[in-house]
Amino acid sequence: MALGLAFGWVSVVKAQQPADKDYLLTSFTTQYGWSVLDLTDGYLSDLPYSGYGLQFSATSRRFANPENDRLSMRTDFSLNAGAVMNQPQSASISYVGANVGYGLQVHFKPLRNLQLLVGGEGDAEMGLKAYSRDVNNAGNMDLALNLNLAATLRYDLNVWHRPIRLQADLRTPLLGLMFVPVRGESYSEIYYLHSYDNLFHLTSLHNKNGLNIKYLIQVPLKHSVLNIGFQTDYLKYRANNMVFVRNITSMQVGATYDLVLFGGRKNAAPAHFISSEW
Amino acid sequence: MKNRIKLLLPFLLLLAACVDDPVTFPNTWQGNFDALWKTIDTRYCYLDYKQVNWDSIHVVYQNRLSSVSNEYEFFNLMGNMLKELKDGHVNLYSDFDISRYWNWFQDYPSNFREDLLYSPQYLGSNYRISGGMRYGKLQAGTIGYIYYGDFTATFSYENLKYLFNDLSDCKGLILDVRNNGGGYLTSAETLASCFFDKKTLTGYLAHKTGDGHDSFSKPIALYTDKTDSLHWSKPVVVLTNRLSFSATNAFVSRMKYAPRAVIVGDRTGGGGGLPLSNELPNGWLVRFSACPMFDASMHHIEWGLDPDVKVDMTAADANNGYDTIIERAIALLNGF
Repeated sequence: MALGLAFGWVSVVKAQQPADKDYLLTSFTTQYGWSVLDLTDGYLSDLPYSGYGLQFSATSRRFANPENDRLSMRTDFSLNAGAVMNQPQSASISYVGANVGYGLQVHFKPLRNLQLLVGGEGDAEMGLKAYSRDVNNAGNMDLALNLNLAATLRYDLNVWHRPIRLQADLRTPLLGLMFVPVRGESYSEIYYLHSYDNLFHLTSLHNKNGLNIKYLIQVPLKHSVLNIGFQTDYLKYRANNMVFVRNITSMQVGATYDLVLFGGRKNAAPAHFISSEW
Repeated sequence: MKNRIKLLLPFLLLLAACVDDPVTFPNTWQGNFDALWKTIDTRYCYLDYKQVNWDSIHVVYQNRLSSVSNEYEFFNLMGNMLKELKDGHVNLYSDFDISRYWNWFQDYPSNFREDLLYSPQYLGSNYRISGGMRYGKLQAGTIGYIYYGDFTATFSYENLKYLFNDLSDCKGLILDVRNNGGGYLTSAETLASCFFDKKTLTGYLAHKTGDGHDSFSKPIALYTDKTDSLHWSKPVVVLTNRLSFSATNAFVSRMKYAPRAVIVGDRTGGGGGLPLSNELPNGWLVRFSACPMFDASMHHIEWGLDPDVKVDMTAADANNGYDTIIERAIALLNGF
């Protein structure tokens, strides 16, 4: 949340500079969600765990250059928290995960009202899992750096004389580095015995598959844009003879602000402000 | 074209799934049996060392599975299969019972009587307790005595500082870890470090790296370093019996290399494998030895460690109010 506010503050300051030439407008989207969470952590248990969670995400986007409306920069932050249980309900795992990403996307307009944004994004991911049924491993940590393919598809249409946007965001990891402990090796052993073998693994499609798709319906309101979203975030990876799966399916609601208020989509933004969103 | 696009923008993105799905078993008796057998087959660390033919055991118990008629019988079948491993670190936890293998101490003399320990001959009733350690002085204050019965009862440096200060005028120390079933390995290391003069290689630890019975990582060296501020520089006798197990076994393994330490009593109970756990589809939990520990010569310590001086308690001594093992330790310290 604090990071989201910080993004917003910085963006407001940038967007409110005097306008004697073209200025870049930063669009900021926050979303809150309720999620169904499925976890399998081979370090803790072979059983799949399922439960519910909460989600917060913040995204900001702006063009990279006032003279170039083909390349936009994007920052993402997401936070997931949840509690899951195994099917016999004999044990639980508490989960908190965060992801911070930064990327660039090229804008294409293949058809009228249709935009395709394609590019790459680097992200850092961290998660903590606390296991209620400890024998020697009370929890596990996810840690990864990823280089993702990131694509966005936008389609604008009018429904009952109101502009509506349908948007789909896709991210999938291509390359990266991840931390996975050795099965049976506790974190205290790693720390005290300086046992660092086989902890860090290069990732690619051979050992890490993921697909994060967020579908949004965007409805412009008076001072912002209402977002109603549905997201599936599936991640599966293998290391040290263990398989890890995380599947988050969430319903989200949120808003996109242009951070300079133009009275909604019916009023066009002044010419000297350039938005990467609309 | 425009109208068609307006209707829907379907997304069908398929990614080649290169990572296999986790292996799962159905929540049936057969599925749970298979899950348990597979867990031990791929993760238990002593199948080769103990020369256990786990495939044959599968055949034997698979045949018995068909005669199981209720949950208790099923639990007993699974528990009995685990007992074949002869390992005190192997248990099956259900909501109604915990399977266990206790022959590692039940088949041996106990070599410990708590009533003697707290008799006026030894600790009596006027002893101190610090960090889970009960301590006092024997033989007119000439010999320090510590009873530490649980390595999960943690202690601090302050606890040990007061304890060693209190016993500093003694010419030797008896550290009694009989009936100590283990606990935290870090406590075992910390306590042992008080008796070392320099950093010493005292053992190794390995991890399983694959499903094969012999798939292990390169052994990691375990050192016991000296502790400058808490250094016991006089002789110490460590008392052991068969119930000195797991972390206590690891403690004794380290103390074997301490410069002025003598191990007295019975062979320790073993438990040289660090335990891990896994769950079965029905929610039962199996604990098993996963990571073997070795002494500094790369010998397994799973079956226990022989004392330097083998002593069993005698009934005659006990009837006269004497603990034979403590008496032998006192004699050794008086002879230093």
